[in-house]
Amino acid sequence: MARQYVEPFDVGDPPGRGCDDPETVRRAQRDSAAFTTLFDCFWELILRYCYGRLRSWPDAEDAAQAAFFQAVTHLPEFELRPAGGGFRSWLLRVAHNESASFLRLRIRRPALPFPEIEPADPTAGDDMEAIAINDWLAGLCATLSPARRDVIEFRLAGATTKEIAQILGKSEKTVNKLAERAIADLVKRRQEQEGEAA
Amino acid sequence: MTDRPRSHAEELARYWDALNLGQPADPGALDPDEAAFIQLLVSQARRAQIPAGARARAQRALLRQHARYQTTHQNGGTSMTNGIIAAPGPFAPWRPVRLATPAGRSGRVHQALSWGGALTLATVLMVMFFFLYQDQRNNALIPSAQVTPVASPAATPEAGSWPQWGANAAHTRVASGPGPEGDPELLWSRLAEPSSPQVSIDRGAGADGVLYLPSNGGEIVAIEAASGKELWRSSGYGDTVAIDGDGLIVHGHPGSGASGDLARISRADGHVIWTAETGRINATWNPVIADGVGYTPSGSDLIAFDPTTGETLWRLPLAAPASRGASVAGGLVAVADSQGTMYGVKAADGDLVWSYQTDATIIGHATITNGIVSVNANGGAQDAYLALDAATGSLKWRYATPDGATLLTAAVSETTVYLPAQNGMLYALDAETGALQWSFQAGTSSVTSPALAGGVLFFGASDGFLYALDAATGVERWRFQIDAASNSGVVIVDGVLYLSSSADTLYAIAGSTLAAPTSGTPAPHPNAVPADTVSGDPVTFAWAADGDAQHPLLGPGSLAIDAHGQIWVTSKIGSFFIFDLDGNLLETWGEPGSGEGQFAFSDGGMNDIASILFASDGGFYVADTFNSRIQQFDYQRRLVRTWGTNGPGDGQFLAPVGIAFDAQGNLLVADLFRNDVQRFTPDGVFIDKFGGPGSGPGQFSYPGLTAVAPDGSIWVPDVGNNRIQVLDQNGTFRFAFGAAGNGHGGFSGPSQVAFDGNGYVFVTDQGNNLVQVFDLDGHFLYQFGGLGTGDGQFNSPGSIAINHGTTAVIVDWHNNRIQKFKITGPFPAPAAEATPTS
Repeated sequence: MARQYVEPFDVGDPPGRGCDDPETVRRAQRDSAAFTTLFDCFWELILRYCYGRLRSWPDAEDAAQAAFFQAVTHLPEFELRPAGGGFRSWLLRVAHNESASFLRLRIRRPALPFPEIEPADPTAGDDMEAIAINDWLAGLCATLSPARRDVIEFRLAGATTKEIAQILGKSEKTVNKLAERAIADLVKRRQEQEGEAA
Repeated sequence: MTDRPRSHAEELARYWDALNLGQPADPGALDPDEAAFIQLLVSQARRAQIPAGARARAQRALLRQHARYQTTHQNGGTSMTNGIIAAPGPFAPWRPVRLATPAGRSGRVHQALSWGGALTLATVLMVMFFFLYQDQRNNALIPSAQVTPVASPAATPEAGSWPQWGANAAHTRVASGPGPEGDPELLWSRLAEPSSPQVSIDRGAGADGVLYLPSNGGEIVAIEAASGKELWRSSGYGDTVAIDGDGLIVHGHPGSGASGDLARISRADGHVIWTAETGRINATWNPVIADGVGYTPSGSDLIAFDPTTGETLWRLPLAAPASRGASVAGGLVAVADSQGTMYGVKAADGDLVWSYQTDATIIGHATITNGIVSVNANGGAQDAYLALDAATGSLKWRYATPDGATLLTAAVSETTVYLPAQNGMLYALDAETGALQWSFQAGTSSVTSPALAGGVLFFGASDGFLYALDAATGVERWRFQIDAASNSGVVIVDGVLYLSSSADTLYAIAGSTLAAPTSGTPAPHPNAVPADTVSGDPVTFAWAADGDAQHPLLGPGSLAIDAHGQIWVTSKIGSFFIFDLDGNLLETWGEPGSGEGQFAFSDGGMNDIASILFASDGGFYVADTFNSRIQQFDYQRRLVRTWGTNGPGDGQFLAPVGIAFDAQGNLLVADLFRNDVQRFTPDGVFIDKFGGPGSGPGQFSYPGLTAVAPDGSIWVPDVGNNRIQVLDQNGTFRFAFGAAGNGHGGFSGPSQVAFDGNGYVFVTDQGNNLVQVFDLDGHFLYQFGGLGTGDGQFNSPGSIAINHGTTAVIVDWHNNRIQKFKITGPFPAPAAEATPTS
């Protein structure tokens, strides 16, 4: 048991890599029309990150939208941040804050007059197994402590140690430790679940 | 590279970094299972399927926001590429907000304001940041004066600022400038980040467009007043704050290396200017600055210090460590110790003038006005408010509430003490005699420290409202609902009021008088959507109705207007509330339950929804949502038939909400949970159905209160997909419009569609607290509303009904009321940009 994922397999390409060169960012700072390049590059990254946090596509779309609007309006100040990292880190941080707002909103206003259950998954009929695994992973991640969960969410979105450290204002060592403990937590949970199932 | 063996955490990070950089990933020393597990996590995150059309929706929304942004912010020669604006929080209004332009400002900001006269403060900030940005690009040194206008060293605070705890050194909590004038308008709200320390509004200070708020992590967080955006965070110094010129007087965080020291940090970026080892400074001892001298308790002493150097000027030992910080006015320093002694001390040299022994253990920050030192003193035989003669320290009067409630820090004007208590009351006392002038009940548990500005008293309460009262009479001017109990005193800076809630949300509330656009607003771009509120509005507020004292309207869900012009509103209690067209409650009818003719209009907390549809013969159908059935009544309200049981089969329901007659007179029933629309004969015989879950054309995510257009097309609010879908009579998809967004065609939970019969479509937008108006092609034309409790504002607008094309009645769900509006038109022509999608 518990060996079904041992074989290495293609994990897919990381979204939003290789297009945040400083020149594109500078151009977008001068000319907002050039922002579309950055949007095209990073939209998927940000949407997936928000989805990872919110686990609802409509909310994730809203949060990503809010993040990009913040980004386009605040881009000119971007380089002023003394502790800032690359544009990608900055954008992820913006998305982090925006999705935090959505999480807060859920607590604050749990009741649109319509129930807060997940809408039917639009991928229904595709790969049911993948969806089941995804739900299972989401459930696992939900059990992590907030700090560990933050790190895992950034990790899953494709951020590197250095970027996460910049985003969260923590040292790389701390970030690595949090990720290690998060993975240990997840592995343990998974084993517990398998133990229950066995 | 290093030879040091990598730790497991580093191995893990190295491996994951490679995956995330798209490089070949070598598991190295990692356990193969572990590596595979990470691969699984990563691949799942990357493969979760993004909904169809999401990218196109996002592009359109961004373009629309961008266009809107440019039209509202291209003023003063400042274009989007070098400006910043009030960042839209989840509830932030879109219209440009005018902040106070107080008289008597000095320095650069004042100059900037006088240039255009009409530039908003936000624009000034834009320009300042533009300069700052340019300087940065030129690698020039940035003199701090460019970000923070040099303040006069005199004690008199600049008009509009709130430089230290209690607004001034005497802690009167009387703002030096105006407060929000007119109706309250949300300027922004800022949700605390879960991982960040919470900031405290009422221990904060603000001036010149920046708030400096201590966090419970011992930092100072500088926040742009216009937008709520964080500018910088100090590290290691915080907890208390007083503005002194270009610096902030704070103290070292006890958790840091320099525990309890007094420090001065820069207002521009938080860097430390000096620290002084004055003895341990406590977080509740807010330092004060008066006439260029700082005063603070220190250890078990009271000290005066030079705020520019940190040098101690004098030191007076107290019998015990201080209870709270000192207050200063008229050459007198008042401070209390933790053993219940009040001290009056000469500010000039620290000589003790008098002392007064109380039996209290916790004595607040004293207020000094008109020769009286007044203070709340709790923990003794009876919690009381004391007024002492500032010259002699003798007791002039004391006040205790009838129930002996614990008292909080008061606001004190020349004549009146406004005393908040933890019994939900605010007491106005004559400052000279202590006689009760009036009192005001706000909730039942606690009222926070008020602020006084322009004859209006502002305070938050545990009932989740911000109150504004006429300071002279105690008559309520307005109240404004926030997301939870208020847990901070109110602070007013530059005409904007700040407070926080126990849900850790910071609010910035401006007044409508200041927030409304004026003639100074630049001419709109040709494609601009109109300002939301201008004279000659096509839609104007008529009245709001919430029932009567015996029958308060609770949890209004859906409404419809019958042939007699009576408005039927479902209430979560399981009854209809029936109003006339003037808003008078005529009667309530119906009872809760699951029996025949009984109703379930609420699921017991989360959702209050149902709907009613009148037939031409005077009978009516009720979507009895939470009984999963349709009930039909005749014109005498006698039950004709009931159909439907809980289930997914044909003719069954899960949560039927949207009912409408189609062009043939058959009944359409949209079901929130089935995500489809079923069609029945008027007698309840199933005909057909269409839809299904999803986000594609003709698929639904919570189809809501549906309507049929004059041409027979079926308009379904697709709530979860944030769009309106338009289907032909057979249920075949024709087109859709809308996407997730903040108004102007963007939705956050569209609830109901209504037609006015003149070619306009009204859509209630619950999450944005708006009603948006479209043409029959789905082009956005106009919107009205906004979050609030005032006339014409909403807190979750839901159902809408339009009577004769001239009157719209709208459920204002969380405000527990309905509102009527007059529709006069004309509505503006659509902007060039097309909004419908297909």
